[in-house]
Amino acid sequence: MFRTRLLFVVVACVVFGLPFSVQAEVQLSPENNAATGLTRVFLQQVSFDSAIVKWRGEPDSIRFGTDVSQLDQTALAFDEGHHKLASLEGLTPDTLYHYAFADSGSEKAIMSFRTAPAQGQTPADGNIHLWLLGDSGTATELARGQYVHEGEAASVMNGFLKYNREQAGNEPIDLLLLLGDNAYLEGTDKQWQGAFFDIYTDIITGAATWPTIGNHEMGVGAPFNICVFRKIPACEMGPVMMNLGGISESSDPDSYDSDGDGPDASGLPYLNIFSLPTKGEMGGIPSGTEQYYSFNYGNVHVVSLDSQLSNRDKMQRETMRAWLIDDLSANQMDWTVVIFHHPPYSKGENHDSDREQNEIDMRQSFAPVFDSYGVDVVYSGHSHSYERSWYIRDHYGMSDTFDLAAHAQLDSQGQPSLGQGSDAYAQISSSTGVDDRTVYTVAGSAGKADKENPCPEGQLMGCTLPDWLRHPAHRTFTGSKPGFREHGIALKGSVVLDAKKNELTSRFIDEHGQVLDQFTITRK
Amino acid sequence: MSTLRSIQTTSVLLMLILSKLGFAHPGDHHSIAELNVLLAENPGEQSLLVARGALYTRTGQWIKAEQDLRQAQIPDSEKEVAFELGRLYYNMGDYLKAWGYFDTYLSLYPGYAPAYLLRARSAKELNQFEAAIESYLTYLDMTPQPQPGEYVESAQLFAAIGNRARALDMLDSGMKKLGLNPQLQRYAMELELERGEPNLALTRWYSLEGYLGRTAQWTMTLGKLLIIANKVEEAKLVISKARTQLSKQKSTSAREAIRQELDRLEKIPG
Repeated sequence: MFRTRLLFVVVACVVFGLPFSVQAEVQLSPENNAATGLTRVFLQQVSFDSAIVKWRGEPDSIRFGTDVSQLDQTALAFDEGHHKLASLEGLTPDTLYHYAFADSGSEKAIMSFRTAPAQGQTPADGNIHLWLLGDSGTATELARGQYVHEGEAASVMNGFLKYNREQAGNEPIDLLLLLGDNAYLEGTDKQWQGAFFDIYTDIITGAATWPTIGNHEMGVGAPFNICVFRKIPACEMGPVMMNLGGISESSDPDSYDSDGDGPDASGLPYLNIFSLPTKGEMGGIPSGTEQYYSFNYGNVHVVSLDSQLSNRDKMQRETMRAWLIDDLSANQMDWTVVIFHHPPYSKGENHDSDREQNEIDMRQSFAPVFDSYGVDVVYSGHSHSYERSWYIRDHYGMSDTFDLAAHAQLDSQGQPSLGQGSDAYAQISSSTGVDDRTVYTVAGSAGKADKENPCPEGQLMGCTLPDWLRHPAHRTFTGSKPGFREHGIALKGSVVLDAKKNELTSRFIDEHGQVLDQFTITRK
Repeated sequence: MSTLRSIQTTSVLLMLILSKLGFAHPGDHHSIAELNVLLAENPGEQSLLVARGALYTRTGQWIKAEQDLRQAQIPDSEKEVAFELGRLYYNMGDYLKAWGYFDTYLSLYPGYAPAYLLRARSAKELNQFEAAIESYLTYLDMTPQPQPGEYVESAQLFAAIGNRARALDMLDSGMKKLGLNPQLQRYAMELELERGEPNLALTRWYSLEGYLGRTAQWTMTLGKLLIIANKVEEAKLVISKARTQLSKQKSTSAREAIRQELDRLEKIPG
């Protein structure tokens, strides 16, 4: 009966122009998992001496080695979360490895990756090159029966690749960090395929992917009677129930529900797809859960927090916070990067860090830890635009309590510093003598960008309010370029982070390969 | 049941449906404002009332929440609203009432794990620890992937009735499942101290050395444990080591606080 109703909804949505997504989807089964060819090859947990390769398809092993003409080592795979997983052990730090599938029938092209430098070290080329994607999963977003953002994530990727070719010496990506909402709208396995694996295919075979959980990774909310909004013909037969993705407020990954008919037996696809360190196996402190974790890569320490699930339950949030304190206490890397989905400071369309509890909780519970334990940069998504803070500390309240003099680093002229050129931010504050400032970046436009659409009187949603992209903690932009607002940029793009021994530089790259913002932090 | 299980999200969902531009999920205040409009157009609509009531609960507007949820208790489906009413009273601090509503809801839907969790927490607030433990253990049994914090919380319940052995069992079973975990082991260390076993506390703390041993924080805590265990000379050496560790690490506010604590510890006679 429910499926029948769902069909009505789909038809109604097409006819009446309502947004919807295809909920009904074949769940993975051993039969279709075992079928046919090789797909979804991607790297996980590339460290200085090991790496994980995951894939789907017939091959049960891979060959690998440092000589591309002689892949003389073999790693056997086992099944995990509807994927095959092979661990490559005994690798040499900062070394190029090649791999191919031993029994794939037709020979798959040989793929390559470089192992991490030894812990605490920089690689031979002196730079760790990270690419960050927030809210990139729009390729599978349906509305009115159409893919409404088709090609936009690919366009952002092409912009990055153009930048990388023309301005970054075509340096290979070392790490791919996902900032959440990387498979719209419900984060189903099929959507991960269409929004992630089918787009970044060549990148994820050469660099490990490190994700964080966004709201669109957590399935749908409750089915709801659409007839209270519009009296479509189907309403004459009774209530018409509709499900939408991205609005689950559960703190329990086992409650993942892809289509509104109760928790999926196959579990949360995000956790099935990714293999993340829970026991400190990559250099961080054991978290005991894949929902939040940390790792070292050369001289960079990366922490992925869970602002979607663990953050919602006070006890779980406190435990995650205690873990973070232990983890950062033990961290001795040159640079510390934190990622999570819900931004502590944002005035995005519909996502206001003065209003959304997840964002408020992340700011109030975790920003003090970032200040006290030497976190350099924090990246989030959620708002489909770009905002980047000043070099700030001690601000945990609402936006109207932000005070430049009290919270931002000022230059010699008494103006907030942009962190560019000769005004690069210093990791250790000259005034306090400690590392107590952080730059917060919201980079949720790797799949779509919100556009200015002033709200009519009385309307708060689906439009831009007067304070859109005007959070005072974020840097200002002057001039009147299209897409630029007072404290943010409403254009599609992604972030590139480069970590050298004594310099950390973050750049926002648009879909045309142009650098629209950047800042640098230096250390002695 | 599924409608009400996540009914708290419904108002957000409403916004999404109304949105002409696509999908977003507004803050609670935005959602309440829109729900006000919808309820004016659809007076008495149960799902809207429950959705707004849940949002009023989350934003601490108890009286409004109660009014909405009471109005949503339409004949023949009063129990459907019981979970949200339980959550309202739990947040208001009326734990007895909350407990009753969770019982009511579980009589209707005995497979709904979150109701066991909130019932356990309600019972805990009423110092009814045995009942809290029973409900919590049921919750854990129903949860395929318990989180680290849930093992800590369940251990706290056993500790509250003085059963530190069972509390430690809970933590150890958690670490058996999750792997050695600083959050669980730290609490276990505290429980060992509480039951007068400083040497066992030391053993547990030493187990974390591989992960935390390079930190001045860990070393300083070790020094404190050694003092408690009457190993003062050893403690002095350890505290000195913590200071050395500190000098080699990047200065942060947290490490400055450790430095001050080390100053204090070094002045302890012995």
